[in-house]
This record gives sequence, structure tokens and C-alpha cells, in this order.
Amino acid sequence: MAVQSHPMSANPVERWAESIPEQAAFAVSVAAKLAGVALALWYAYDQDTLFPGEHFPRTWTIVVFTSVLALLSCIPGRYPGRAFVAALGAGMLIFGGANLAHRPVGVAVVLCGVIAAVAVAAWNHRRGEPVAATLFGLVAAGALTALAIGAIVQFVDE
Amino acid sequence: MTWLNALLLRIPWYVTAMVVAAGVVVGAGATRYFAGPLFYETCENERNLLTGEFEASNCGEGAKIAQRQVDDGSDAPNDGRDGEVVASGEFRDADSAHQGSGVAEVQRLPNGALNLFLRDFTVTNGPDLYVYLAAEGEQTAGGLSLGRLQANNGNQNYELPAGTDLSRYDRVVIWCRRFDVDFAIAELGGATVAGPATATPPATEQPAGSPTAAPTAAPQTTPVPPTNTAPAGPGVLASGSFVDGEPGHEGSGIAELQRLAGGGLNLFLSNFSVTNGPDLVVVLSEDPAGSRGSVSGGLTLDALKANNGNQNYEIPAGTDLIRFKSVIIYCKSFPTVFAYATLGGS
Repeated sequence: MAVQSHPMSANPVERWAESIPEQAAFAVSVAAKLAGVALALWYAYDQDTLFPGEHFPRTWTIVVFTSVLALLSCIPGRYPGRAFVAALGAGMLIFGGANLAHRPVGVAVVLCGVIAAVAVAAWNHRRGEPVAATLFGLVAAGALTALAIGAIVQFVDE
Repeated sequence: MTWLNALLLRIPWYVTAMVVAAGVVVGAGATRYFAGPLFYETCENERNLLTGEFEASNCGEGAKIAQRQVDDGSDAPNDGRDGEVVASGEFRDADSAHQGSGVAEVQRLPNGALNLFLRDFTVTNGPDLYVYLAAEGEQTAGGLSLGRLQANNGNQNYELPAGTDLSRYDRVVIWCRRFDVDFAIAELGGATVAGPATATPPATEQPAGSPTAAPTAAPQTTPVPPTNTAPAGPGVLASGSFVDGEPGHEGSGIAELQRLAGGGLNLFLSNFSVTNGPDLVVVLSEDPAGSRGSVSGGLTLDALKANNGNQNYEIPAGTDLIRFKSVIIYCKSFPTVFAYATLGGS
């Protein structure tokens, strides 16, 4: 993998990002996303077990939607929009996980998303991707979560 | 994206960092508050106060907890005297997004008190849900609040205030106060619902030396100033239901001004609950609306003993009760009304 050189920056955030190996940043982002997905799925499963015989389609829908996008963003490879997709996956855990944050496990999902987002930002910076791509990914995750909630309320019965 | 990147490069890095952090915090916080309850199921499984039995509901863990309370003797069933179901109805969805099911049952308990029992109940969760008695054609907000919804699943009891005139209400509504949205509605039907059913205060929860036969309280809607001269014997001089104070502070239960058998005056709080806080005191106020400004001219009885449960507060001999129109739970440290009860009485 080609390592790009960056001029010494006065920006401490950039200096911090440049101090992290590209592969390490990617690995941390993937690990945080996988952990976040596992916790989100646990949340939905655990809620079902608290209510024997009950199933909560709305919870499962938001959890699966969040998890699928987060997992897809982990697929390695070089393609246009890679930086955007990586940030989108992290953002889904932040905003999708916020829906679950009434329980501690939901807060943990959000924390995984934050860690993933920071790692993705560092990874994108190391690869010379524009900052805007990371920001667009996070904003898009918030918008997608809002759309998903609207659709769930309208079309998914309890 | 290029133009945005060029713009970001012109903005100091710390400004960008702060805006991003603030955006994430605000966005995630708003999502949690507004949408989070949709995906957060809660359970409260109480026994049926009329039968003393725990009944099946959709939440198993809550049922186990409730059963343990019975086994521990911390929540004993009633004494087997007869009560009756005054009215009942099945919950239905308020709309496609806000769904509910289960049964609402208004019960007259053996001690005369009225109780709303929600059986096998479930409703879409929301951020600020309350249980209301309401009438068709009226805004739910204009109905009678029975308190914050304990949980969006299970079997639950809600005490109706003493003196509630059931003929005024024909439905139970689960209502989101913050957004003024009905979540579920149960239309009440029953043989006696149209009659002037009223509740009498529970006779089994009185303090020592209290009146042995409490009179029926007048409806809340026609409060009468209390007096310390009538009745001459022991009795309830005035009573009222606690309601929430300033935003974020909640209260429920009954406040009763009592003349004890020995002639002393007593404030009895029954089934009482209030948001806990520092330096809470119990104040008799001249303002029926329990305003913060009326506290300074009121009579402070004592520090609040606990934020839950039945409690007694001695009222000094010679107190002119006719002055006082409400009981306030007040925080001295951060001048705030946590809850208040407007007094009405015989």
C-alpha cells in the first residue's frame, strides 16, 4: 500500500492523525464497527427475552438497518466514495445507536460509533481523502437514520 | 465536495472540530429523546388490587419481580373484601403510528377508593406519556391526569383521586404531554359508569389517632376552603391530589388535612411520590395553584421525610387552616415547586 507523505501541519488534529499508521486506523475502525453491530443485535435479542413470546419488529428493523450499513462499510477495497462509505458506517452506529441509548448497551453502541468515526477520520486523512468526505458520511448517516425512523413509524407495526 | 473541502481548509481546525462534535452530540441526543422510546420497551407488572392476584402479562421479568415482592411480604394482597368493576374498555390504536392494546378497568376497591387497572397492557412507547381520564370531544389535556405512565407494558394500577366524578369521563387515554398526541384510547363502558360514582379515601392507611370514618371527599372541581372548626370531631378537613410542579418535577398521591381524635391537626400524604431533590420541605400555601411566590407567605411544616410513601406532618396547634388552599413540596436550595395539591374539602 502506498504511503503518502504529508507536510508537517500546525493543526494538532492532523498531526495526531498522521501519527497513526494507516492500517492500524483501519483495523480500529472495523473492530469498533463489528463490536457496535454485535452490541446492537444483542440489544434487540435481549429485549425479546425480557418479554417472552413478544417480538419487536420496530426495534429489529432499526437494528438490522444500522448493522447492515455498518457492516457494508467494513468491506475492504478501493472504489470511488470509499472514504464517504467508511464514515457513513461509523455514523450509522452513532445515530442508529442513539435510538437504543435508553439502555447501557445502547450507549455502548454509540461509543463504538464514536471510536469508529475517529478511526475512520484518521484513516481517511492518511489516505489523503478530503475532510469533507468524512463529514458528508456522518451527515448522511444522520439523515438516513431519520428517514428510517420515519419509515418504521409509518410502515412497521409494533 | 471539492468546494466544501476548500471551504473547510479556510476555517480554523478547532472551529470545524467543535461544529462537528456539537452536531454529533445534538443529533444523537435528539434521536435518543424523540425516537429512542420507540425502540425501548419497559415493563411494570403489578397485582390486580381488586383480586389481590398477579395476572399474566406480556412482560415476564417484570412479573417475576412483582411476584418476589409478594413473597417478601412487601406488597401484601388485599383482605378479600368485595370490590367491583365500575367500568371497563379495551385499548385501541390512536392512529397507525401510535398503537395500544389491553384492557382498562375502573375498579372500586373494598376500602372505597377508585383504581384504574390496566390489564395485559401495551402501547407504543413515547417520550412523555401520561394516563388521563377524558371525555369524548374534549382535549385530553383538559381531562384528569392519573400520573405518568409507569411502563409501556404490563399490568398497572393508577389511583383515582378522592372525589373523582366518573360521570364526567368516558375514556382512558395514554397521552404524550410534550407533543399533545394521543397514543392509545380505551372507551369505558359499564353498568354504573354513567352514574355519579365517587371515590372515598382509603380507610386502611390512616395514621394512629386519625378519624375512623373518613367522609366522602368533594369533587376536585369544586374546592372549598378548609376550616379548622368543622367538623368538630375527628375527620378529613380537606384533601387534594398532587400534580406535577415546575417542568421536570413530578408528583402524585393525596394530601389530607386531618383533625385527629385528640384534637390535633395533621397533614397525611398517602400513596405519595415526588421527584427527589435536595432540601425539600412541605409547605401549606395560600395559593390554590401552588405557585413558587406563595411559599414565603405560607407555613413550612417540616423537611420532606421521603420522596415516596405514606407520611404524616404535624400542623402546629392554633393554625388557621382556612388561610391555606394548597400543599406544596418545595425545594429551598433551588427555589422550585416540585409538586402541589390544591385542597378542597367539607
